[in-house]
Amino acid sequence: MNAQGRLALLALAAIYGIALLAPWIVPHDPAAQYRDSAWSPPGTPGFPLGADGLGRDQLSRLLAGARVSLLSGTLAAAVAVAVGGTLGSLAVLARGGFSAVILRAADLSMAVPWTYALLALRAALPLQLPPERVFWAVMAMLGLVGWARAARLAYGVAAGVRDRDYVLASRGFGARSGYILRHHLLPEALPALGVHFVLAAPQYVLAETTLTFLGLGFPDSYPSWGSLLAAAARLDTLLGHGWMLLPAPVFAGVFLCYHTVGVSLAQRWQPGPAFQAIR
Amino acid sequence: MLTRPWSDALRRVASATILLMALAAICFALFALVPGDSLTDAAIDPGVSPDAVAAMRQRLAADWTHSRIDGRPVAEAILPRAARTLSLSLASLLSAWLLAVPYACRRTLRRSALDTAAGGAAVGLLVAAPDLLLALGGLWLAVESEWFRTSGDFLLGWIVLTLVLLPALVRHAQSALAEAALQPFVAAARMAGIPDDRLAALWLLPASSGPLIALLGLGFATTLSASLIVETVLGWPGLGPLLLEAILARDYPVILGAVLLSGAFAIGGNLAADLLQLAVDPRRRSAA
Repeated sequence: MNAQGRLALLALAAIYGIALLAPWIVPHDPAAQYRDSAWSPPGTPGFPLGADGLGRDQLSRLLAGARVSLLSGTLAAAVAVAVGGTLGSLAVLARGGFSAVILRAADLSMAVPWTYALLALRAALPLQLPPERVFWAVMAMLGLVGWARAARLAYGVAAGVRDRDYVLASRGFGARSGYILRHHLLPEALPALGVHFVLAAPQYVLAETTLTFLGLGFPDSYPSWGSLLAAAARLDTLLGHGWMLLPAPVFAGVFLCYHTVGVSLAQRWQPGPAFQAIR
Repeated sequence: MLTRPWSDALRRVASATILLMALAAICFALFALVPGDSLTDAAIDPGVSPDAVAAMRQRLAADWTHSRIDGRPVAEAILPRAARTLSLSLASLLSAWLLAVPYACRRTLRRSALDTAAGGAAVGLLVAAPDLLLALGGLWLAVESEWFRTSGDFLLGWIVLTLVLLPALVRHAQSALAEAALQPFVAAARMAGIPDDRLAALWLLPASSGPLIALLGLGFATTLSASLIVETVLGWPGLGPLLLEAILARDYPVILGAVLLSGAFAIGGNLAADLLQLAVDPRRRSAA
């Protein structure tokens, strides 16, 4: 990994650390309303990023939101990549019917544009969900939308390995499918899946943020980055209080870090003209 | 080699149709089985008799061609919205391609350090600013500058959606062209003194047409996804805002129609790219 990538990884580690520790380091309770300080601009003593119309501290909401958005998005990405990768590798081993079912299901779930797919799944759930269930519902929806890309990737890589001579040889020596999966297919597929995870994780975070932004994810009392953006996106808010958009550059920074790490991992694991050109 | 282009084309059309039908079946099953409907509010209203709700429910459940909110035919609700989504998406897709491909050609053939650094930084920054943030930036610009209307401005939506699509397109086009540029015939043409523009148009682009057309096919779904977000934030009355309204009102026939139509557009775009691929590259046709 190059210096840029290492720096970005360090920054990401710090951001995740802060997000995990959010409940203990927030300056105020993110739900507490300091009505006297409503619409305090950034830089007001006690409210470094300002306070919203209800007087809630924006910095505290940003930190608490980071915990919700980053954790739900990253966990969903991890689960989707694990499930998709497993199904894709199994499809290579099984061939025949099972493999056809997996591949067609993947085609089907990638046929609909992802925002439409996500909203279609959301439409099948009750509009109002209790906050603790929202977390699992969001993760399940993101996973259902995203698993197919990982499955396709794992299938592609593992299918390339399956018919190589050394795999045939080990099969000839009596190796079972599980052994081939562990010793030949997964070692080839895992680096590709790792790069995919790093490139996909911010997309999952974005998907959660978008869902909440649209009013279909976490409720406002349980702030995610989507609720912060939704609060700032109202025209009357933007007109007088454009600084409410200040969290947006923070999100952009997280995306940039992820992208930098992903590109430098891709260069390391899959060197070739195709990946070098990404730079 | 004898080829049968029509049977290949027909096979692709058939598999796209099957995919769309499978999608319709799954979406229908999903929405027909979910608990809760547009009458949930009426059902807990003491002024409405349970019998009336039950009768209404029975009548609505059988009808998947009319909106459950205002009774309009689903097609009438959806088609004008879809036309607006398509106009925004196709205009943005076109402008993004017209910007990305020449830029990628230039960077592949002529690598000046400044050009590479500045372009790379610009693309990197755009990558870091995903659709939702770019759309919010556009909204902020409309509010601050008064150059655009804050709701339903085609020009603003077009600019924002183009910027959303651009970075990924540039990166993929660049990697496709870089691969083609490694071919010996490109080096030979170069040594023969063919100027860069001609080289790009007549050697590089045809040699990379395969991955570029594949990229075009995948681009429809990406564009529609981003379009939904841009439409919603910037108030462009397309399919996206309609779908959101329908979800909040639990209007399942409209939800089903909007989701299926977005799937049809994406599948259709992919199919068109597939057929173009067949027309352009004889190697993809199966032998007779």
